[in-house]
Amino acid sequence: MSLPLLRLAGISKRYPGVQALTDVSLDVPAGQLRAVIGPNGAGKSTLFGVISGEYPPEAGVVELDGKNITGWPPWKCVRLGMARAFQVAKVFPRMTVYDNVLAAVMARDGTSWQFWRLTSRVPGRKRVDGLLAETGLLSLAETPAAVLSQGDRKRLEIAIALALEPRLLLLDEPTAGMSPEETHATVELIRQLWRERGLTVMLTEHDMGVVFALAEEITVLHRGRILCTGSPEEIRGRQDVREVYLGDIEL
Amino acid sequence: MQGIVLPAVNGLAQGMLLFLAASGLSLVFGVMGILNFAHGAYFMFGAYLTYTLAGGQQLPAWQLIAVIVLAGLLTALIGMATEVLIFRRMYQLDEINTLLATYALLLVGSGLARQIWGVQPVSQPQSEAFFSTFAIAGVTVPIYDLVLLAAGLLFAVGLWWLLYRTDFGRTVRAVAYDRWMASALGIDVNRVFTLMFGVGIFLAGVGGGLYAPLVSANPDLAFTFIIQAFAVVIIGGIGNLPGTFGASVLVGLLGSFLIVYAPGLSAFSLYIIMVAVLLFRPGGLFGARRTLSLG
Repeated sequence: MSLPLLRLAGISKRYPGVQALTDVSLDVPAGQLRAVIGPNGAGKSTLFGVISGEYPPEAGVVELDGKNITGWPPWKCVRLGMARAFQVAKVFPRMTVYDNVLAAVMARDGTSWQFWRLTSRVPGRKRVDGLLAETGLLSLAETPAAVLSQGDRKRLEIAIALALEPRLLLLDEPTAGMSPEETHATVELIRQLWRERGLTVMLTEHDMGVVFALAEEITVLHRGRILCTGSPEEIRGRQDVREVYLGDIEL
Repeated sequence: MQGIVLPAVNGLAQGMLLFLAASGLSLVFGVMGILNFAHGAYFMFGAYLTYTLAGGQQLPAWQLIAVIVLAGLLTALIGMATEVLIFRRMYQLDEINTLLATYALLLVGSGLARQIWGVQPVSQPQSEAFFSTFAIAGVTVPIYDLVLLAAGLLFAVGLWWLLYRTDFGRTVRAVAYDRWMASALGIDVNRVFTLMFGVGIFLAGVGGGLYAPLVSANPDLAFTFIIQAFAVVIIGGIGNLPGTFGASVLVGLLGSFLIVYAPGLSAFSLYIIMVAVLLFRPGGLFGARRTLSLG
């Protein structure tokens, strides 16, 4: 068992009137593909928000690669090697697909502060082409992001996240709103990226087909607490997980 | 010829001062989305600091220029400190509260100047070399007008270059466009805000410094210039920097021609244009931009 890349210990997070997370502790080993599941309102998005620095927790510790990053602002977590893709893909809509990825490459290289460097001399163009090829967006390079289909927009967001060269990739509902074909293609893309790049991936997902097709380990959240963590087979066999979902999802 | 060239040069020079005062206002709105009434106080501090750094003495031309740039840098430092300490807390407020808070800061700034430099106006003597005149097409024009013109053009081109031709400018435009998205790329948005606030305040400080040898610095300077700068920003389209430049030139020229040909109108012509623009083209003559365009 390798050291965990991500470690959460005793995380609690409250919103006014709601206890969103209670004493959540989990370890994600480097290189693992972990899914976090749970019914609506279980706290999945809040958990991602706490990990990525968007919502500082009231209690508990977030560690990335042994470094305590609790309460760090999101931009700092990104610089340390964390990238996140959202349920509703977040991109620069008025920029082309190419420029979106280029912006991320530049941010990654730290050239974004160089007021002496001219925009025409951008060294990252090859990497942008590589990322677009990897995510299947090469033919859409000059398309404004605003007119992309839902699936392509998600791919673009993944390309942006990869441009940041993360060690930990957080995917929030990567197939939400996709057609079955797009979902299938996205599952293949995630699997391929994870294998080829040696990434640690953590994802939330409603589509149990996607979860069981991808995850090495699954953590089940229920009402802000961890119900259990286990292999897909273990989770499939557990009665309490079935009860949490009230049988409305076939496991 | 005299009747056209002289007001034209005067008007352009006046327009450059207006641009220096208004560009920072437009820039801060374009990047951070706040209307900063306190901007006028920085213009005033630029004038006062020029006077203090020069010791109120007449200086050779190049020394005066150096002092004005230094005053601009000092003003920018004060601006960046206030951004970190005060303005940063305002970004979540709505427009009305921001306007009230920055107006309060304008009053504080003016009051501070009263405390430091007193109620009596102080005058920075003009350099000997800048008193002389220059002949264009047989018309003699003050050489300082050409200095103002050169400075205005230099800073306008410099600002455009910074924003549209450098990597840092790209970052600034990304932050202006979507600060959330920029921070998701690992960009420290607060740092961009502080730096761009500094750039805007530097322009105001230099504008005040260039204005110092022309008039007496007094605590009311904070108010007179912010009103004009606001009018220019509205006429040009708020957040639109080329528009701000165009409006500055337009307003400068109009003012100087009216002084010659219709002096009765000159005092309030600016506000007539502003009202007309608000009535018929509320987005400004050149179009408003909530954010800097990404281009």
